[in-house]
Amino acid sequence: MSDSLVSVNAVNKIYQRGGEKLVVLDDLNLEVPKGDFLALMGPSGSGKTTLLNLIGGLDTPTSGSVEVDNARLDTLNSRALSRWRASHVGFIFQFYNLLPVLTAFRNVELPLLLTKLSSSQRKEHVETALNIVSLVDRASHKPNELSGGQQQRVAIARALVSDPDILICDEPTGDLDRETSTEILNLLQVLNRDHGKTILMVTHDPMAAEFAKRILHLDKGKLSN
Amino acid sequence: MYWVLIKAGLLRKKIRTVLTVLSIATAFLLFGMLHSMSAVFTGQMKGMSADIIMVMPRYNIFGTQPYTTFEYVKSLEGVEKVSHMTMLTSDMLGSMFDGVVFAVDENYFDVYKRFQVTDEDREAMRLRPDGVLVGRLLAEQKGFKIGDKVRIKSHSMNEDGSYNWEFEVVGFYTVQVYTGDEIGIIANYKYVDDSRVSMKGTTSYIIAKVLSPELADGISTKIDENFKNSDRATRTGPENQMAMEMIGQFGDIELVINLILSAVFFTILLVTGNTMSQAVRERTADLAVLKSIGYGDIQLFIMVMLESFIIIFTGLILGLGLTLLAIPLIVAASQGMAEDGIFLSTSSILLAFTIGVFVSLASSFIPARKALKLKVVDALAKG
Repeated sequence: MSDSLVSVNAVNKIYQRGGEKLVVLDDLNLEVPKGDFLALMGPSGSGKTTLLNLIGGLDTPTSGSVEVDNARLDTLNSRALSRWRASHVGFIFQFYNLLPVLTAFRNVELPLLLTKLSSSQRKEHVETALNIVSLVDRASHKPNELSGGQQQRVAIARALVSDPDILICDEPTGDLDRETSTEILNLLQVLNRDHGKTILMVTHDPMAAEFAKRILHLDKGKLSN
Repeated sequence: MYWVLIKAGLLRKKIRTVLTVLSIATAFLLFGMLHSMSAVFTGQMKGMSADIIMVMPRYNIFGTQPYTTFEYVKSLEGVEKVSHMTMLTSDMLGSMFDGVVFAVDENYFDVYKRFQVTDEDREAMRLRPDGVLVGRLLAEQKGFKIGDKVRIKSHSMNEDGSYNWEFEVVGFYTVQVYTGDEIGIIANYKYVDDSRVSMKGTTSYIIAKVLSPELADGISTKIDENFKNSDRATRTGPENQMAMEMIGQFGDIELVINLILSAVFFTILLVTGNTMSQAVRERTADLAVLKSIGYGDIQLFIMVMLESFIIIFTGLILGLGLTLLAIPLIVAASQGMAEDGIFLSTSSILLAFTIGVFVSLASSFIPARKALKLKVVDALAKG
């Protein structure tokens, strides 16, 4: 059993495009201790998002093992992965991906609908999450009534609400201006520092990467410091 | 859990959802209305007995047949009672609402048990040759009372050389079921036949009660065979079958109804299928996000199926609800004639729900399967 929260061992991810094999991750190893804030950088097509997807249980490796919080994700089937994701990981996407017809409150509540929590318990959790991202006063607003930064904060609250061990952020500031990006990155730092969340963030932006504790570069499927 | 997501799906494109529901409601309104009238179109009117046969002129349903045909029918083995009636009118369609005058013999009420009259009124009619019994519904509509005169124009010339006929109301009759039959006036055949100058000794329809329903077809065939290839050829059969044949003069209405309904529901299937496919396509990113936060493939499959069920069944309930509201209006517009003829039967409602289930399943299966098979990684990559 590893001491790391995330342990990626000898992972290969190969896509078959026609008759050609495309090696996206090449015998990759990675250890992420609990409480880490890791930024993954690299050129487009280097495999950053693929690595995040493997760690987030959205995809499975061609070979090798992915272990997160003592769970071997590469051995789980689709149904077990869904269950695992619901309680262990929170996703933050570049384009927020909120459901447009639901209010901020309802969007944040979505992961909790899969749990056995009562309505009042869910309300309590949602309010706590919205409080962390300072958006309690916007709970009844729909995404189109919020700014880009606010929408991303709602997405962060949605990722936080089920109290996951790890937050997976794929270009979380890619669609935001510099000032708002800084706000979001500060928020991620707070979540890492004060709430103990382990964060894995993919970014193209060196300034954003500076907010992380550690920066790794990925190129042609291989990691480097 | 499902309701929040289904509501989100339905409200995403409100106008499209409303229009889809309305188109389904229209289809089920059409279904409801056509099925409500199916009793009329299929000859399954309540109260019509299988042991009553009607003998009509074969080539003209408004024609006449000689009284000797009546005597022949009466003489047949298996025939219990026989009566006959003659229509005394000049304008069939107009008189449907103003009251058709039927000249009948004294056995009419014994053969046609669903026509009911008191002994006193029957006796009053027997005592007064020009006395008539007026149907309850017609009497209520026109305000007829005992002693009132009923004046009509007929295609038959009277002894005075005119086409005007006058009768006196001596009583009333009711009909146990199918109240449309109460829009009528029953007169003494003997008086009418004695008074007319032409077509004497003829009658329009002969009605016979046979000993058991099983005998009806055999006796009907025997009558038709007997007059085959003569100038008084007959068309005979159980009264519900004959009623259907009369309506069949206007075409195979049942087939037309079924074709219309098939076309409507096929269109609805395409409309709903298209709506659901579009809805799922537009929500690819949403579905991917839901999967990423822990929603399972089967849960999203069920969600899409339920969404389709809600759209179809909202339309269905609305359509059948409108049908139930429309029926009393149609009955009122028909001045009560259609009171027992137009109704939405339990079997029609069950059929509508069966169609609803089938259309829901058929229209949502492919989009739901698409949601089930959606790969999160690919969907997120496409944005």
